[in-house]
Amino acid sequence: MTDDRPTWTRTIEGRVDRLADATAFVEQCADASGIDLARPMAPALVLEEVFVNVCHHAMPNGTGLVELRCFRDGDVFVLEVEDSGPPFDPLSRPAPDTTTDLVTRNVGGLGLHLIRSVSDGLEYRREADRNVLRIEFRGRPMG
Amino acid sequence: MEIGTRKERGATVVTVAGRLDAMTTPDFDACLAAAIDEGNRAFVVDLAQLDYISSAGLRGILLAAKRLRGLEGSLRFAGVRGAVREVFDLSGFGSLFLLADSVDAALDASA
Repeated sequence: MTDDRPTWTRTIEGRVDRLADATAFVEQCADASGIDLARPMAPALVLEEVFVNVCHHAMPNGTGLVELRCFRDGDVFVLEVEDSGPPFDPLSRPAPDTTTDLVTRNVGGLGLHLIRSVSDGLEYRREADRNVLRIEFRGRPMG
Repeated sequence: MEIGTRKERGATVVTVAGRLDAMTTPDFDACLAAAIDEGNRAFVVDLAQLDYISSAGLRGILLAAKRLRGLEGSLRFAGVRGAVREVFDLSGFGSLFLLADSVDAALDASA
């Protein structure tokens, strides 16, 4: 990322009922980035899965703030989600089996599966006392 | 999200429009649960007007499907398209459910 490119930041209460605000922010940033995303629905979907996860794991009391940061890095749209909860790496959880039949199908774990499926880069880091999840979305190949 | 139900050829057709996400899925769950409680067993969910679904919506669908299976009911889908189709495909829902182009086609399909 170069310094002359903007980073859009929004701090939102970590409650599921703030999801619509968080989604609107990320969709606006994705538009403003000017990148023709290979999967246009991906940022909103990943944002929801990550945001809801953070609300449940990082702030079970319904208090706390989530910082959303968006920027363009070359042909990649980057979303970073940061919270002050206890260390929690969502990427460390096992992937669900999406090939089983209805009887044995587990209803959990699909969120992480979708995050992995529609993003092009994922990185968790613990920074000071904060969890930071960086998600990358690639633009459509030219031509 | 907007949700509506109607009876068609003996089945309950549930039409869902807008977004099926962590905020709206509880209403979807409640609607299906109420219809099942009333004794309805054959369902077609029409998603032609649905623009977005997340894992919360998928979870609601799976829970309803599991409950209906125990009651020897059925849950079929019509009009799954765009981003919703993409999420269905990524989650393996195409092999779990009958996905028809239209409500009529879903009602015509044999069990």
